[in-house]
Formats: sequence, C-alpha cells, structure tokens
Amino acid sequence: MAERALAVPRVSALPYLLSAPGLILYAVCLVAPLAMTALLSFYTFTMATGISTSMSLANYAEILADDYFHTIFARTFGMALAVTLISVLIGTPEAWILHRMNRRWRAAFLLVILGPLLIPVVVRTLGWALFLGRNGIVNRTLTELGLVTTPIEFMYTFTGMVVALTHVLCPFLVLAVWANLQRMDPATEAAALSLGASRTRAVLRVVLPQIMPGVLSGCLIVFTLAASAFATPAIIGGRRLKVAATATYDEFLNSQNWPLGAAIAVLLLVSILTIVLVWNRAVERRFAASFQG
Amino acid sequence: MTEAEGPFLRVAGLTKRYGEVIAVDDLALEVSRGEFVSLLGPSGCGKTTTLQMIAGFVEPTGGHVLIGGRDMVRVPPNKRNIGIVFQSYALFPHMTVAENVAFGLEMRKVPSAERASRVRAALEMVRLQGLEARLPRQLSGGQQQRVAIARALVVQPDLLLLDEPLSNLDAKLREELRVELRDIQRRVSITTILVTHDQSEALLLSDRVAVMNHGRLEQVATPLDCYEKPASAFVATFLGRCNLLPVARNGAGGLQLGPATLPVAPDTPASGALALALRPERISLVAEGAGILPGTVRAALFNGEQWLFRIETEAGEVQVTRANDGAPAAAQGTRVGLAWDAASARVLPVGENGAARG
Repeated sequence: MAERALAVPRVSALPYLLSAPGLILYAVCLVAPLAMTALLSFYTFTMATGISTSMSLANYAEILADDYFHTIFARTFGMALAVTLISVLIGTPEAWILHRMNRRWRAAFLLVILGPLLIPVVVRTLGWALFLGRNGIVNRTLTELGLVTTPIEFMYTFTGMVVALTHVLCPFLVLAVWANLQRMDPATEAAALSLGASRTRAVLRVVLPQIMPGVLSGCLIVFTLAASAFATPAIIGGRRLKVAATATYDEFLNSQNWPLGAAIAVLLLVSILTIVLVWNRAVERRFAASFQG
Repeated sequence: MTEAEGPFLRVAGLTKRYGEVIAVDDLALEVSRGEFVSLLGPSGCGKTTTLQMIAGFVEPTGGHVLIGGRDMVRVPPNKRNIGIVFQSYALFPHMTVAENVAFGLEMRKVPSAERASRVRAALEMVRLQGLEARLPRQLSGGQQQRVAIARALVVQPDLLLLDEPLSNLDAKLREELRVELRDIQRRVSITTILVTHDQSEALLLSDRVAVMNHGRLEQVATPLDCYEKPASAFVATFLGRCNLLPVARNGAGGLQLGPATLPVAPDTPASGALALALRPERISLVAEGAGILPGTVRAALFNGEQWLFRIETEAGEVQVTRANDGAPAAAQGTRVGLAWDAASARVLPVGENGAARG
C-alpha cells in the first residue's frame, strides 16, 4: 500500500488516459443519443408543419393526460411484473435443481436453459406463434381432442406476451440465482438438517435467505428487460396491444411524431431507472449487514 | 432414550462403494458412552465418508450404524439427534450468533424462554457472552468455531461429530481451541467422533485413536498404544516419526538386521516381508563397537530443542533424535554404534513393494 501511495501522484493522469477509449465510446454511443432523444422530446410537432425546435412540455403533458398512454404504461409494467413473478417462481427452483445436479447433467441442462438466449428473437417468437397460434399445434390438438370448440387466443393477448417473454428472460434469473448458490457453503444445509430441520425447513430457513440477493438481482434484470422489451411484444402483441417500446416505435415510424415518441422513450427510461434505484437501495439496506464484504 | 448395554455407538460392516471405488471397506468400530474417538488418516482414506454415513448424509452401501442400540441407517439426518461441527463451520451467514445457536432448539420447538436461557448457557460455555447480536462474518475464525460448537451442543445431541474442526485455524489458535474442545467434551461428557488428518490433534484429544488407510481401519487403540505398539507399518509411520528397517528371518532362528542378529519376539509375523519399526527418540548413540548396529553420522541437525542425526548403516539410513542437554553432539563422519531397548522395537509386516500397508 505504501508503495502505491507514493507512486500515485506521478501517474495521476494515467488512469484517465487508459480509460479514455472506453469513456469516449460510452459518450458517443450512449450518452449522445440519449441526450439527443431527451432534447427531441421537448420539440413540438404538428401534422401540418412537422417537427419544430420550439421547446415545450406539451408531449409530456399529452402522455400524462391521455388514458391511451396510461393503458400502455400500465400494460408495460404489468407485463414486466408478471414476467418477473413467474420467472422467480420457475427460475428459483430451476436454479436449485441445476445446482444439485451432477456435473454431466448440469452441462446439458444449462444448455437447455440458456437455449432461448441463443435463438434469434424473431425466430423464437415466431416459434411461439406457430406453437400457440389459432392454427398452432396446441390449439389443433385441443380442438381435435374435443377439449375446446373455439381455439384459445394467444396471439395479440397479454398472456401471450407474458409467456413468450418469460421464456426468454427466465434464464437471466436462473443464472443470477445459480451464481449465488455456488457461493453458498453447501454445509450450511447439512448443518440445518443435523440440527433437526426437515428438508423443506432447511431450504426455507437456511438456503432461501442465502440466495435472496441472487433472486432479487435476477428480478431486477428480468424486470428491466421485460419493461423495455420490443421484439416480442411487437410480434405477439402487435399494434393491438402496445407497450411503451412498441408505442415509441409507432410514433417514430407510423405517426412520424418523433417528439412524442421520444417523450414516451424518456418516460420509460426514467421510470425504469427509478424502479432500479429504489429497488437496489431497498435490497442493499436489507442485506448489507449479512452479505457485503 | 434407553441406557443400552455395551457400546453406545456401534458401527458394523460399514461399507461405501462409488462404482468400482471402495471408499469405506467393512468398517467396524465400537465407542462407549462419553468416549472421545478420533478417526485419523490421510486425505482420501475414507474417514470423512465414514463420518457422513454416521451423520446420515451419505447412504452406506452396506453395514449398520447403531446409536444407543438403534439402527440409524434408514433414519434421516434430521432425526438422528447428532451434533456436527463442520470444517467450514457452516454457520448460517444471515443469522446472528444467538439465532444460529437457537436454530436447533427452534426446530425442536423448545419454548422461547427456555430457548433463550439455553442459548445463553451454551454461549457462556464457549466464552462468547456479549457477541449474541453479531453476524458470523463479524467474528474471527476461532470465534466462529466456538459458535459452531455451541450450536451443535445446545440441542444436547446423543453424539458429537467433529469434521476437521480445527484445520482452518492458525497454529496457535488451533492449540488453544484443542484444549478448550477437550475441556468442553469432558464437561458435557458427550460421545464424540473427531475426523482429522492431524496426528498430534488425534493423540492429544482422544481416548482412543482409530487409524484409517485405504478405507480400512488399521488400528484402534489408546493414543499411547497406537504410538508404542503400532499394528502396522502404516500406523508406525503415520503417527510420529519412525524408522522402518528391513529385517529377515535367518537360518539360525534369529532376525537379520544388516550385520546384526536380533532375537525373534513371540509376536513376530510368521511369514512375509518384515521391517523393524524403531522410533528415532528411542535410539541412543553409543561408542563405536558398542550397541546393536554400527553406523556413520551423515548429518547432525540442531533445532534448539533437539538434535536430529542421520546415520548411515548397512541396514539403511536411520534417523535418531536426542534431546538437547547442552553438550555438543557427535560430528558428521563420526563412527558410532546404535543401541536401543528391545521393548522399544517392533517387527511389523510390510507390503511387497515396501510400502506402508497393514
């Protein structure tokens, strides 16, 4: 430490120089477009004149006042919440089972779990559409077995979007929980058993609390990705069931109302950031004592 | 529980196979109530697997584990009433010291008032009063170890299993905790099995030592007997230092050791390769021509407490230690005689390749 302290003043510019390429890339590729989008959201738009650079809060006022946008935002976060909850319910046991598997099976199942992430989003979503669509395998089987008379609607439904998004986002939760499980001392579970806890009690009282940080950070990843998802809602929800991301796209490309689209995007970003920060703060406060350092 | 006649813990024919590999091979061990027995052996000798089978975490391929006369093999680990101290301590990181210790009582549905007083007593026993509200990671290794001991004992288990409990501590702390562990075990007089690869730990703590190698028990005896009367070359060399010098029966009915002829003791094995086991501290250096075996001092090493001599003889190199009494020692190159008391030497069978094997 002493040597480092002595050496620091002489090379104080070095860390900045070394990180400059990264910082420049970050500025050019992320900060600049975001700033431009934010700026754009304050411009005004009329059908007659198109975009003008006079600044106003009109776009935000419109979004906040219009029920149409309320529905879209409610749907966006409702969908994200549903995907997150289902991912937790499926992903946590999945990670636990994965953790208990022997090495060979684990490698195979890890591939199965990560599968959805390896398939391009359009292919995967169209696959779901083929599988669950009006004339899809599921509906045709059910109809032919006489279990249903009219096909179950999946396309252009909220359920459809939640199912397809859970499929692709659940792996993130599994990975977060699994990483947490690997850091856990397996002897703690054995200790709980030896002290008289049943298997269920040992999991609930000893394993689950230890993997909560993994579950919670996995939730955050899944929620953020679900709330900002575009391709899956675009294909399955289409223009009938818009979410914030697809609404933005529509304003930009169909209505040509770029400023309004930008305002939706900015509101989505701000809401997600707020949720992330509040969540993180809450998690840190709750687990700081036992899990840091 | 019923007071059983005979041994409190009885392990019979205990075997564990993993495919072709035999981890524990037909192990038999009897431990009386209140006794402290160590399972001692090198890593991979099956001692931990044995412990885990007693605890119920590993299902045996065959054999029985009886505690107080009751066969435990089909009993799940949470119904065995066994206290375990793990090598990693395995404290619950999200619970305070008090919550950790109270866990077993909570599982047994002990009322909260009694629970609190028993937790207090247990923490007092391991001298951790005042740290109830700390989290495990806020404690030193030694303190964590004590919490683990308190947590295992507070439920008043029938049996205490210690899995290399001191191996993660530094040498000085280890010595302190050894003494403390022994004191606590005596005070609560609980039947205890310690798994360790540290021979001095086993010798210091145990009433009896069970030396394991390759999944088998080589010897079960008091620490003194294990050291003084090792049953095999493996035990002789694993417990302390020991010279193993090849000997053979000669035509005249004696044992040939290099140029020397020794009388055959009545317990000498009738056939097979033999070695004379001789502790370095039991050999004395005498004048050339005297003693049993002549040799030349190849090295004389001094560590303050004692001298270590490496003596070249016709029977091979012999190590000799001598307590430092302040006098200068025999210098390198000196021709000496090696003498020992016949009672200090034992003739043991050795494997074909001379490896330590019982």
